[in-house]
Amino acid sequence: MMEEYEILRNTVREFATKEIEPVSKDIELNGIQRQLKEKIAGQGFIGATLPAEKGGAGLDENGYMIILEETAKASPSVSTWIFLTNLYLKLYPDTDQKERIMSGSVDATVDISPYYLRSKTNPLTVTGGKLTGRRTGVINGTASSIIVSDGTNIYAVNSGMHAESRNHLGLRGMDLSDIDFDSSSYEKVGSEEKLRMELKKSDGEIASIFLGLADGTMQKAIDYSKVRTAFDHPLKDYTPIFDEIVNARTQIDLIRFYLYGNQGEYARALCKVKAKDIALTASRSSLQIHGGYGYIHDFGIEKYYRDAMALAVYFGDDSWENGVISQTVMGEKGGII
Amino acid sequence: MNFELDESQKEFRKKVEEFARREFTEEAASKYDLQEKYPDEVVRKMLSEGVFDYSNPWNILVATETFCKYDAGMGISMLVPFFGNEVIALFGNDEQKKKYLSRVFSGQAKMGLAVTEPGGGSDVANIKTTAVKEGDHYILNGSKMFITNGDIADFFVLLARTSVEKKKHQGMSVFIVERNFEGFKSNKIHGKLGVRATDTAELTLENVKVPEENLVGEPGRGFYYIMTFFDISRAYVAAQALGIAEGILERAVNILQKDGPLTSQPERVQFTIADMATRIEAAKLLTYEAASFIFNFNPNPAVTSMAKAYAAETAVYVSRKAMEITGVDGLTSSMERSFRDAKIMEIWEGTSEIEKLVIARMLKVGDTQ
Repeated sequence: MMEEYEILRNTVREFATKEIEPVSKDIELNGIQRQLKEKIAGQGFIGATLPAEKGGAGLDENGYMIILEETAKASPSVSTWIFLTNLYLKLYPDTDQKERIMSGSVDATVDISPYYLRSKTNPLTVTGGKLTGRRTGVINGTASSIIVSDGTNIYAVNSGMHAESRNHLGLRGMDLSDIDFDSSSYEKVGSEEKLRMELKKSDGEIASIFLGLADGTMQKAIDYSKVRTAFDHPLKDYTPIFDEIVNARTQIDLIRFYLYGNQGEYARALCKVKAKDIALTASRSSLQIHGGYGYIHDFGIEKYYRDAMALAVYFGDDSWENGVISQTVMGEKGGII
Repeated sequence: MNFELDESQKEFRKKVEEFARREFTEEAASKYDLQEKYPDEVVRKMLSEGVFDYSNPWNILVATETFCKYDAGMGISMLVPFFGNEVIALFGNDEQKKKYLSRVFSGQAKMGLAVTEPGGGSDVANIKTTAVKEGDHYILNGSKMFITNGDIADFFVLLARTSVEKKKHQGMSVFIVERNFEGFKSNKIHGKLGVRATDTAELTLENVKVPEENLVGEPGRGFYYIMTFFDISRAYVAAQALGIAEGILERAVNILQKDGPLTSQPERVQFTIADMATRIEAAKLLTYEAASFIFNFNPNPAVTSMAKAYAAETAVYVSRKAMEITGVDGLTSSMERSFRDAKIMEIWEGTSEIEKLVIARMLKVGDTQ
């Protein structure tokens, strides 16, 4: 089994290096290219965890996390896009758009804004064959089909969505949109509880996106520290820079070792919290090590700094994880007032 | 010891605040940020309204802090037309001051400082641009990187190597190089993470003929002139970072207060706010202390570097914590821009790493055993 994971990791890494890395700067400016989406689909990354009889690749969780981690190294936007598309398919595997979604020719996403927006969103209303209301800050909100929740149930909405994109800090490979819903073309997919549970089960996947981001930007810092010299020595030879790089990389390796070696809620929650921290730290270190070059788009470093912060906001509410961790640490609830 | 600005400085701050509130609207700030455009029209307005007073360095510091609180990109743009002027003011001759500085201070010209090169930022002594004397002029060749005002300044105070000495930091000289000198080219750098209203460019010099009278001070002393300049300008950069941090704290608190008083937030959030505010206060004291040493002609480079490094670190810390506690509300507000602006503070005018080296080198301690 371990060998199979290694083969998968090498395959995804090779794909990311060959197909994502060269267009990663363009992704930041113009969004993830349709052609790339189709190539990603062609690799079987969309529907990765669906069983073979449902048309998927039948990967287990570790296999799926490898895909998210390795793609996040080159582009956190792409990795998060894969995650959201697969979340849609997990919730609604029998959609009649399945073939088009799984071939990468149309986008499908899940509105998870109610779980990261602090301000209360207006509930969507579903009456008389109409789904109406407004949602703000939906990731990839211009997708053809969006799963939304009205607080009780979740629906896949296929038309009657007016999305307006706003400027946003990170994950610029996808838009962040405010959407007005006025749709008669929607289908009930299940209960809101189903989405909530699915998200809670996603801690390991989110951890792997954070981890890939951290490792991707740190590897670039390592490479740069070997070739850039100051005061007649390569940067890597200076103790503060050496310590910073080694500290980040050893933490990344520890989290990875733990993440892929342990199942269960506690292990996943722990990894998500720690991977988020290291993504924030590593993206800052890497930019700093690159100096002025790190600050400009052309070097492909600043995006990790933006993306780490944006991801930490979208997936950074640790209340669920703290609850899980508290059960192990305290044996009961804690940190709740 | 007095920790308050005097009345006239407070009055001045009010004036600057009024201008910033009126001109640095969200619409304007986001436009200049998005389009990477220098807000020349706003600078002209500021000059024509006489908001600015160059005669008092405290006013420059207060204006820097206040402007950056509202928007760093536009704020820095207001004060940047005379960036580097201290080099001429301190080491230039009367002719140079009359010919160049007077035009800058009257708003007729903009200037810039050109030190950093593609192969060396922190390591100033390692620059490769050369200046070779030929008759009554120098011939300059080389390139400069990340030069603020690079595409808009009329002239630059520029560091070049005039001789090869045993010690690397000797043999460098400062020149005033005009944009219209033949062989001078600038190439605007696009895609900065933040402070996108400010102009940044790469400069190339190809056999640029610079008249001898544009040599600033003595030949071979350039490195020391530039270091002296940094010991002053770093206090202003500390004020930039301080202003950014103050602006973010205010925005974050105002977002949270929409849900009720701060005390109704979880203690985790209240502690974060307390930490942010404490660090800002410490950064402010360091910044004002460094400025006070400089403005009393008794600079203390260790304190100046402490102020710059600590204020920069504070700006970045505050920008990240604010995002964590305000979530998507912060992410989609003007705080998003401040978050991007803050990071440059740890890089320009001496990276935090360089500041720490200066602190360690310049620190004076007693003889306690």
